Amino acid sequence: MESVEHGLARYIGVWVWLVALLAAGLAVMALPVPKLAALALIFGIASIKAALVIRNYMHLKYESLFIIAVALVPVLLFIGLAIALIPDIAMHR
Amino acid sequence: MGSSEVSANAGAGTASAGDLQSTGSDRLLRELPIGKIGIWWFLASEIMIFGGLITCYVLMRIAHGGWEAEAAHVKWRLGAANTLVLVTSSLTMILAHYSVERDDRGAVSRYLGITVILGLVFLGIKTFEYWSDLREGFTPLSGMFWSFYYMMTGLHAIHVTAGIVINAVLFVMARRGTLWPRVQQRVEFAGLYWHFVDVVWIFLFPLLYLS
Repeated sequence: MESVEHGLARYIGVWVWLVALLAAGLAVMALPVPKLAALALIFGIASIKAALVIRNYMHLKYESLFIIAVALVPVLLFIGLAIALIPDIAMHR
Repeated sequence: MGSSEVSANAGAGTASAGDLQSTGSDRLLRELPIGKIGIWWFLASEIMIFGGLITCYVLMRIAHGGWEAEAAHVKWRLGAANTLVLVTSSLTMILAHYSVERDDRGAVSRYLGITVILGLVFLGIKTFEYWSDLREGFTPLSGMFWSFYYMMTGLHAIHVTAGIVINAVLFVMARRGTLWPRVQQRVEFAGLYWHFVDVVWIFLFPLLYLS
């Protein structure tokens, strides 16, 4: 069972992680790595930050399957939309 | 049950994932708080709005390229500062929610007030950034990158403004004592919206400032 104090510590711990990941994302810009690798790192870090907020602050990890589905379906839809349009737009020279 | 679980199932009548499997979706929909379904449905539509915009930006950038020169003029330090402000406001918002669960009424209004102030700081920094960009000659008509930049950050700023208004109303109600007894759902739903605005910025920042 999670105590109230434990909940408070978790919320503050998540914030510390968010700030650390923000600094990490900025630090990637200074790394001597290829542009594509840097972008992958930056967006990987951004995805982790978003997941931390969604799971811990929006409490999605405690929600029912229905609410999770409501949140997830539009994400899958726009990712599918992007993939479907890549040949038509991004690769059309 | 932990405090977070309590908040996730706030309101009269809830259902767990187990209920979904054993009793079907009809009962689930009846037992979930209607407000919670409503706010998540609203957020789902918002995901499609921002998702569509982000998809257009990424595809157009891949297709046309050459935006690095334009993107180099954005003020990433101000963007990073705004990211810090917004994630901190998410912390104060969840602490307002946490204080509701502890029935600490003074802390609820205090944290709501701090969240409103941080939202205003975000808009203040953003306004200064717009002013600087425009003064340097970068308008929405300066190129494809700048068109997307103003469109995406502008739409986000409108959402931040709406969140500030909602939180300010809750703050005033908390100060007057009229936020109770439905405080749990009001603060939770306002918080869900505010955290969503934070999540959108978490992706806009690298898209527009770091790539």
